[in-house]
Formats: sequence, structure tokens, C-alpha cells
Amino acid sequence: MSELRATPGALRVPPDAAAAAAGLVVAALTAASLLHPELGLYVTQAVGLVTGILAAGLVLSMTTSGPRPAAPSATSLVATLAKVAFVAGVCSLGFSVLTVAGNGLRGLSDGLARDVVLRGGDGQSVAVRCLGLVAVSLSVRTRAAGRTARLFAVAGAVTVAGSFLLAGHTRTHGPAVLVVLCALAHVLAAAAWVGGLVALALSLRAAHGDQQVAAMLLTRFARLMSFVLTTLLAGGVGLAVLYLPEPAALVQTAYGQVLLIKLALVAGLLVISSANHYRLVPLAASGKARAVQVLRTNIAVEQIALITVLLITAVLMRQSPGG
Amino acid sequence: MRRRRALPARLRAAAVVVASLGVVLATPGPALAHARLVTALPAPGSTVHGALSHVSLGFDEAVTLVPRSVSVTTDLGVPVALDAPVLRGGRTVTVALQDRLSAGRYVLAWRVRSDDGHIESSSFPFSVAVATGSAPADRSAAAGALPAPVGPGEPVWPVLVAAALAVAAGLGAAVVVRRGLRAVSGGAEPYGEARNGRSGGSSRRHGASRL
Repeated sequence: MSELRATPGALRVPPDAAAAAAGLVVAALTAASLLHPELGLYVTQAVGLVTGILAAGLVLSMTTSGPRPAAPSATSLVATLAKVAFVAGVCSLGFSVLTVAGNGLRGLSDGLARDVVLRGGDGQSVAVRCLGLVAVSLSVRTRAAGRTARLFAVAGAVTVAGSFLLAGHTRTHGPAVLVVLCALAHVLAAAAWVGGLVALALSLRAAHGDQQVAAMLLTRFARLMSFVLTTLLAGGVGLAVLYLPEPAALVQTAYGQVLLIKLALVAGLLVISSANHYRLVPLAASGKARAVQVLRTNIAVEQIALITVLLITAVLMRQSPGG
Repeated sequence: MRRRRALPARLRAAAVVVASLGVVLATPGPALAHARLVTALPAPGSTVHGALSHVSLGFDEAVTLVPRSVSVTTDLGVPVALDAPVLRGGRTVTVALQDRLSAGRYVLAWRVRSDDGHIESSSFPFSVAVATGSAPADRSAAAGALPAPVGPGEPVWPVLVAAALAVAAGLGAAVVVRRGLRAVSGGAEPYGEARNGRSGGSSRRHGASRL
């Protein structure tokens, strides 16, 4: 019973129950995906996107001047995320082959389907992403001096973020330079936002109630985020203008409708960020413990909402802007 | 020597957004992402008078051939023997029929892969009016540009899934954040009452005074 006792920080769920529930969900999704490979493609691409962006963003936050989280927990989280993203990427290729072949599990032995996937954008994207994820993993595992680790981290994070541009709409829309610039800025900023939030949460937890450290972390994070959010919005607006053939496509196509849903959730997130930035951070910086407690909860809420935005983005990536 | 004052951060941010939008809006319009069928021989719903030696499908974007890119079946579902499809110019799929078609109704099904990696597929019926000898097909009736792009309707479920995710996350976030902000403003202990069903003082015992 003691494991279920409510605390102000979080609802405690017994680890065994959580593992069993997760196992059941994975088993059900695997079975459904084998019957309907397109579902498997959606799921593995979504998992790959969320974990890949999280790993890249967290390692970037650890490397740059953002909030520095407690090293052991952040390191192990990055390594786990990189592994999951790697496996999800490889699995997505398998489901992509099944989807292209279009004849069930027999499709795995179809040479033409394998060629189309592995030599096309999907294969290139996953191969590059896996290289980036290896670099990210090495950056948190290496015993080399800080400079080498930082080099691996930045190169790996940018490679992981860039890998998402090698498949999908960035291949078919122009002008190519603008699309790539907007998409790269958008993906890197999204990674910095979600990774920065996770890093901030870990750092606040590691601060063990030291309000001076908490205030310093929060102020530094808020400064960084004003630039990150500007870049994110500029890249996103640019992509929308480049992808959508006309404003009416926003409501007439599935792509436009999913984009509007995503924008609504992002707007809600920005309201939470603004509330944190303008109301809670000043209170926390002035030493109000209650404000810091509420901020920690809001940061957790922001993380969940941002992961939801990434999941919606995974759905968006499989729709056609042209209808 | 006078130093130039740096622009305020918000002004710099606004300048970046305006410049990005300006560059983006000044560029030519986009292409479509998914390949769509724009020409077909035979045309959807048409009747072919004469011999049909091959079928041809033209798309508005580059496509890749995949297994079973083109199939022709009778209205009873019996497949018609076809040669391997050939991709011409990246956008036109042509496939020769191995046998002459007898009079009747047929269904032509196609599936290709767009350059953005998505599988596009659809099918349409056509008819053959006369069992043919060596007379060529009456192309005026059977070929040409399609009046509107032919393709499957977009599925609704991705929009519903995205909406459900957004509503769940948005409502959950709104409830938690509002409760926290009210607690900070009003002095009540945040989250304490709702979680424990007791007064705010009890949550303090569980460590609310710590970060």
C-alpha cells in the first residue's frame, strides 16, 4: 500500500504494474501491427520521432549552456532513448517493406519492396539517424575529455534531427534550400525545447530544494527558450507556407486539419510557458518555494504536452499537404 | 569611438520572424507532395472499342514502381496476364497486356510510391465493347487527361486520432496548470487537497515545503 501513497510530486505506480502494462501495450500493438503493417509503420515512426528528438534535445541541453541536469540520470536517460530510437527506426523499415509489398508478412521476402524502401528516403533517413544515435550514445559514454564528448553530442544531435529531413515532404517540396532550412530550424528548436524541459526537470530534482540554484536554472532556461521558441515558430510557419498549396488546404485536407490541431495544442503550450515565464519564474526567483513546486508540476505537464505534439507531428508527416 | 547598442532581445526575435516570413513568402509556390493520377489509358469508366495492347497511367509527380503496381482483373476478379510494368520519364507507368481482352467489364488497380515515401493506390473500372481482331483501340473514347485527379479519399482516422490526443493533453494540462496557478495566487497548498482529499496542511507533511 505504501507504494500507492499519494505525494505532492507524483502519483506512484508500482514498477511491476507499470512494466506489465507497458508489456501488454507493446504486445497488443505488435500483434495489430503484424496484421496491419501501416499501423506498425505509424507507431514505430512515432516512437522513433519522439525518442530521437528527445535524445537529441537532451544531449544538446547537456552540452550547451542550457540547464545542466544531474549527470547520471540524464546520461542513462539519453542512452535509453537512443537505444529505443535505434530499434524503432529499424522496425519502421520492416513495416515500411511490408506496406510497400502490400501482401502481408510474405512481403518481407519481396526483393523489389526491400529495394524501394532501403534505397529510398526511408532507408537513408534511418541509416543516418542510427549513425547520429550512435554518436549521441558515445557522447554520454565516452571517457574522453569534455571537448570530444561535446563534439560527438552536437554532431550526433544535429545528425539525428537532420535525418528526419531525408524522407517525407522535405523531398518533394521546394525551393529545396528554404524547405531544408525551415525544417532543420523547426526540428532542432523542437528538440531544444523538449530536451531543455527534461534537462530542467532533472536539474530541479537534483537541486534538492536549493532555491538559489532553482532560481538560477529557471532564469537561464527562460532566456534560452525565448530564442528557441522564436526559431520553432518561424520554421513552422515557413514550412506551412511552403507545403500548403493554398490557405483553404488548412481546412480541406487531412494534413491541414491535423496541422490546425497541432497548432491549437502548441498555442496552449505557449500559454503555459507564458504563465511559467511571467508569473511563476519571478516568484520562484524571489525564493517562493510554493511557486517552484507549481513550476515543477507545470514543467512535467509541458513535457507530456510536447510529447503529444510530437506524436501528432508523426501523424502529420504521413498526410498529404496537397490533398 | 561610440559602441552601437545591441537591439533588445524581443526586437531581434521579431526581426528574425519577419525576415523568415519575407523570404518564405517571396519564393515560388509549392508542388504537391503525393503523386496523383492525371492521365489514364483506358480512362476511368470509359469503353474501349478495338484492341487494347497496353495500359498507361500518368502521374503529376515522380513515382516509384512497387510490387503489383498495375493489375487488371475481370468483373469476376480473374486477373489478366500482364507484362512487367515500365516506368517512363519517372511519371508514366506503362504495362503491356499479354492477351487480347474479350468484351466485358474490367477493373484496373494501381499502386505506386510517391517520392515522399507514401503509397498511393486506387482502382477504376473500364469496359471493352467488342471482342477484337486486329483493329486498333478507339483512343478518342478511352484515353486522355482525367477531368479531376483520381485517387482514394483521405482517411478520417488520422485527424480523429490527432484530435483525441490534443483534447486529452490539452484538458489535462489546463486542469493541472489552473489548479497550480490558483494555489500560488490564493495561498492554498497546490495539489494537496485534490490528491489527498484532506486539507492543505497534510500535504505539507508529505514534503510540500521542499522543491
